[in-house]
Amino acid sequence: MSQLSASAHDHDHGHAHAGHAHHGHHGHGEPPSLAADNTEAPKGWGSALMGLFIVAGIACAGATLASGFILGGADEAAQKTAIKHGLASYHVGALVALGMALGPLGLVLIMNLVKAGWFVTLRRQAENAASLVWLGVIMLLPPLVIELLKPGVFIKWRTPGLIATDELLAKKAPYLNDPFFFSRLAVYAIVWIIIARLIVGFSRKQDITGDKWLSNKASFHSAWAILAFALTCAFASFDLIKALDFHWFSTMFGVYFFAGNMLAGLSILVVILAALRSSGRLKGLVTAEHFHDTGKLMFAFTVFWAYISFSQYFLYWYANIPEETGWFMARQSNGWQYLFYALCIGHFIVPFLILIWRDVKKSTILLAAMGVFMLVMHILDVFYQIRPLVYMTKVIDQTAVIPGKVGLGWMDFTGALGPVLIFIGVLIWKVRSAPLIPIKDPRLPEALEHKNYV
Amino acid sequence: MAATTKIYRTEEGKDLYAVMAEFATPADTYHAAEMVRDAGYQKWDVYSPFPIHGIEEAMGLKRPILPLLVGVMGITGACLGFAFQYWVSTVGYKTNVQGKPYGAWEAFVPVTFEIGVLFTAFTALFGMLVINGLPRWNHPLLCKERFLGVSDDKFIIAIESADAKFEPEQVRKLLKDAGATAIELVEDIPDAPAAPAAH
Repeated sequence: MSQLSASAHDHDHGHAHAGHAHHGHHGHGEPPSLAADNTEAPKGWGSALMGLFIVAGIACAGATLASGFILGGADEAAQKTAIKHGLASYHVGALVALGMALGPLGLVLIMNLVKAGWFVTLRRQAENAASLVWLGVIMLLPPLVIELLKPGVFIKWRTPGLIATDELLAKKAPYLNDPFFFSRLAVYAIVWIIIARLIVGFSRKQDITGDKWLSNKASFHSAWAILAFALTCAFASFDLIKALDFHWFSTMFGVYFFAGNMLAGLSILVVILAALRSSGRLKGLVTAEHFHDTGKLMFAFTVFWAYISFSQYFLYWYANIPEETGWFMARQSNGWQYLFYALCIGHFIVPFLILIWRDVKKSTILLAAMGVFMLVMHILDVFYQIRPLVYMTKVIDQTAVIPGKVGLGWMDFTGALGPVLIFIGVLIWKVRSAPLIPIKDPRLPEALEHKNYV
Repeated sequence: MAATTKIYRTEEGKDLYAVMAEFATPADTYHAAEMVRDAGYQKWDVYSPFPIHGIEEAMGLKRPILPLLVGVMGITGACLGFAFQYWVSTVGYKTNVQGKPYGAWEAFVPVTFEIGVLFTAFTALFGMLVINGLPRWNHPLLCKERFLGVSDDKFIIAIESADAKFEPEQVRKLLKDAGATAIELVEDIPDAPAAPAAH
């Protein structure tokens, strides 16, 4: 091993002298400097964008939340639907923002657990996003607070008196009741924040002390954390998304949530790394080789997302049992079918055909563009999961649903954008607050030598 | 066999197939490969008991055509698989399943996927065989006792006499300078089927 990597190393230098740069990859000839002008964000980096995103994000989020109260409706039912529309639209954005923290958190846990040397120079940026999981949690709160004040306005199973007429709800009441529901949410939030603080804490402490054993500690604690993360994420998806339509059930839903979040996390990671590289940072530290592997993960999760979401759909489609197909019926009629097919094409076929090319994965610009595209697709995916509930007016004979119209409004755009813009704005601040890579990680040399042999 | 170039003969009067050199370590082999590449030879190859990281760069190999072929054939297979099922279900042999539409795409997805995988697997296997000129019964290098070491712990570079730049003494000098521990001539096998292009 040492002999081989030594020869490959010599070879890099040999190339530079012999002028065979065309054989080398992008990134060669960039000395991997650990000096501040390579491993720290430029002073005031992204300030204008950060301010713009946070201000615009807060404005969008506030307008969305208030939209139902301001626009109102002709009667009480219409008023309630308008409020629900605003809250649901906001919930889409909040879940995307949460996913942009949960995805990187899962990624950091996995990479620590398997002691992935190649990921070291990318890990700090994933950690930055993961450490903002508190922000994702906070952004979930406004609809829940409004829901507490007006029971049933957003979360249907909390409608007063519904339990008397809805047999399914009566059966599910041991799980879907206020004390258990809200304490579950609290547990998820606490677990996520503790894991993020703990794991990111080891890495940041190592920046200062240089203690190489902190890497082993991070790996050790990632082991139990990944189990806690998987369980909390799965149940959070049941409570925050699936329970909004509490007649429906899917054992695949937790995985669906995980797949979407990982894709969102990888996408934001690629965009941030590309932005830093275009600012002249991370030279020789995050090369085309690292982009190549991150691109492979994006490709893998694109396929994984398609695989599990189709499996979920396919079994229900075949079995054709009313209480199971209702969820999909609401998403395949009255205009929603266009979104359904747009996701099949835009969330799977198009990225599959683009990300399969090695040249795309190795290109900073192209992969970052795919990152932005996949984030948009992820927003549409979450929108598809949540938004059809708003105009799904009536429940007949317990199981079948009457699908609602799309009823697109401006609040759907502001709702999706608001929390996401806030999150990205705060993420820019976070990127500037620490070295761009874990500068004293003992596996740093492994990341610097990383290369895809084909 | 070397149709366009001069035919060299060994002392026993046999046609020369190649000059082969043995190297002690992967690193030596790697650097030797770079030297042979830079000297401009085209018909030569490196033989090793295991893959040497980055050897394709040291040899100056171009990106192989096979992945593209596999991708195109995979997509073609998937499309054909889908089209066939659609035709069977809507035209050829209409069967009412649970009252679902005849052309429901959902039911076709697993088989579409499988046919796509089948086409990629077959293209990858048979494409690899064709491009490598396989199967074949024998190869001149396999007649050399020394060459058999590449399935154990030896590293061999062989430059073929069919190469346009081939000149025995120059080749010998190049391989010697590259750090070869042993150099041998390889005789061609009479009446052997035509060897494929090395690259």
